[in-house]
Amino acid sequence: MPVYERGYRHWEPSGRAPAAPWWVIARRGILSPLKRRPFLLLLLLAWVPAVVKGTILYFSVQSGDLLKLLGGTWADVDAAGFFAFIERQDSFVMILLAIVGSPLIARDRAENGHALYFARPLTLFDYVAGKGLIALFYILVVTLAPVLLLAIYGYLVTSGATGFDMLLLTPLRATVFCLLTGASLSLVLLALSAAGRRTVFVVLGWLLLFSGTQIIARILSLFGGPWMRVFDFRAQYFHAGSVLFGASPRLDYPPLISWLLILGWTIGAWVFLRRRIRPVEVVS
Amino acid sequence: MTEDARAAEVSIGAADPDAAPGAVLEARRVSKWFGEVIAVNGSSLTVGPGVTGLLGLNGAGKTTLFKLLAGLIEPSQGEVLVYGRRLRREVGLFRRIGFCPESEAMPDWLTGREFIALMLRLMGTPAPQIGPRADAILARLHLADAAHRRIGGYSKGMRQKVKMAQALAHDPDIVFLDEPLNGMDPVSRHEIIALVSELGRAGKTILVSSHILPEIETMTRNIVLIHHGKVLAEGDITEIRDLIRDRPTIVAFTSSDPRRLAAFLAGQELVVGVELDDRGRVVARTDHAVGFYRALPAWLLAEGLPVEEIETLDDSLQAVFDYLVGD
Repeated sequence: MPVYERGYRHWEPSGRAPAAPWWVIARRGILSPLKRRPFLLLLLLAWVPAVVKGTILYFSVQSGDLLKLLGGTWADVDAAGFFAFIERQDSFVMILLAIVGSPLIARDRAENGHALYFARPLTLFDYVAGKGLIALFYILVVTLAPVLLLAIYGYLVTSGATGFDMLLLTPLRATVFCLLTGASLSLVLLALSAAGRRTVFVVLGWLLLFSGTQIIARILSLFGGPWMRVFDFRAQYFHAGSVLFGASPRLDYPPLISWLLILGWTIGAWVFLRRRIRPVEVVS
Repeated sequence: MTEDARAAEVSIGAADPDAAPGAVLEARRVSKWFGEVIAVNGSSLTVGPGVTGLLGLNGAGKTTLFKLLAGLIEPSQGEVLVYGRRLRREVGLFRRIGFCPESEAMPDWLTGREFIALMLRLMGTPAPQIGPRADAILARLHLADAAHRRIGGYSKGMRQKVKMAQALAHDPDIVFLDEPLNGMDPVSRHEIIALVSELGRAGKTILVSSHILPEIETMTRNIVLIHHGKVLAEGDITEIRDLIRDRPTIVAFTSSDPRRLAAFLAGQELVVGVELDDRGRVVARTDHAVGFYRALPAWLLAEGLPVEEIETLDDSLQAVFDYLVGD
């Protein structure tokens, strides 16, 4: 039948169903950095603290309270101890996301990717979900994944923790925290990436947001009191997360404020992405 | 799309009952504003199977109309229909569309084959078909040898071809080509023109945007002309030319008996003027070229008029364009 005599017919190919577009984007973005050796080394380096914690856990069981005392939160197998571990992984999260996440949208904008993407059967949600999953994956690889393994390992080597805590509650807390904060961080990073076309500026913006706001907030709090810490971007996540893990609060105001701040900029990031991602090419 | 995939297609309901018959693409009173600037102003047009050229001066609204039709941007007013359906509301329709953008920016770190494979995956092509399809289209565009090289190392013409390849790899029914011949060497241009013409003859709907009129003319005589955000004309160049009544079509005849031919033509109602030029040709002017050409063979045979060559001097795309745009 000639093409022009056909009406619209939905294409349903036979055989295995094709992958969802968000998964195609995510898969490509997750696998690409793994081909680079320096990046793999960085990932391995990000697992060193987990190995250290595992080793300390093992020897604290062997040698009793002395090493446990010396180890501090490294030797803790309670929820707060794992929360402290996630907190310590923050530098790796910052560096990995600067490398993997910064170019996610900026490069597409620079390379006319949006016109190519959106001339295909995918929606804005597919695109953002695919890109966001790439960032989220690498956040989880250096936070949630080691925590889950350490929780199982801790349950096996220590005698002080119950299976309910170590195998269910702590993993559940860590999963909820890492997924929520990871999704928020990913969206904020994507929004930053969508703001420019040059990756280097996105990296600088990200580092400023991650570390710069911490320095600025600390300086401001010297003059304006503890409330000035609301300008500390990253601290809000851990202050909010302290509720989930039953850990001591990180800041001097109610964690609810941090939750609201996080919610606010996450929604803001999504709104910005909606406005910014358009399948319009710029011809030089 | 393979035959088994085609066979597995299922109907999902009727298209818009008001859709123009035979129209693959249809714009209905479409307008697009960018802030205070109106890029496309209440334009309507239909595009059917075959090759259609979208023409316009820089800033005429050509690119905006092109992207509206391709579903890349939403109209501020009016609607764009593909097979009687609204494209951005049914993103599955994009599987039947191939889009080749104008911009030369490409993912330089990917090889040509990786790029085509990624684009095919995003199109929803089943995994087993991706490799063979990518190889086939790269071979068709003479890029097989460069398939495993990074796009960053491609020449301008090769980049243009790989853009074409991604637009055609999934065997779409509708293809949008935005300035497809930019940066190509003469041989590649010839190849692409032949390919576009072949696709048009095969029943695909091809919309080619270009500001280089002779290029369009080598691919098609069917055009849409846009000027100041409005569709000025659409259809066959000769038919459009025929409608420009204030500028009669000029036809030159080379004849062994030019005076007899001139005298005969001067007596015809469809002819508004006849003269002999300095090359001894009979130059006739008609304000109804279609009727003139229809009647001409019968006149020549009936009168036994000797004619060696007939040439229409001003129904070239350039002439039509200049008359309509007034530049």
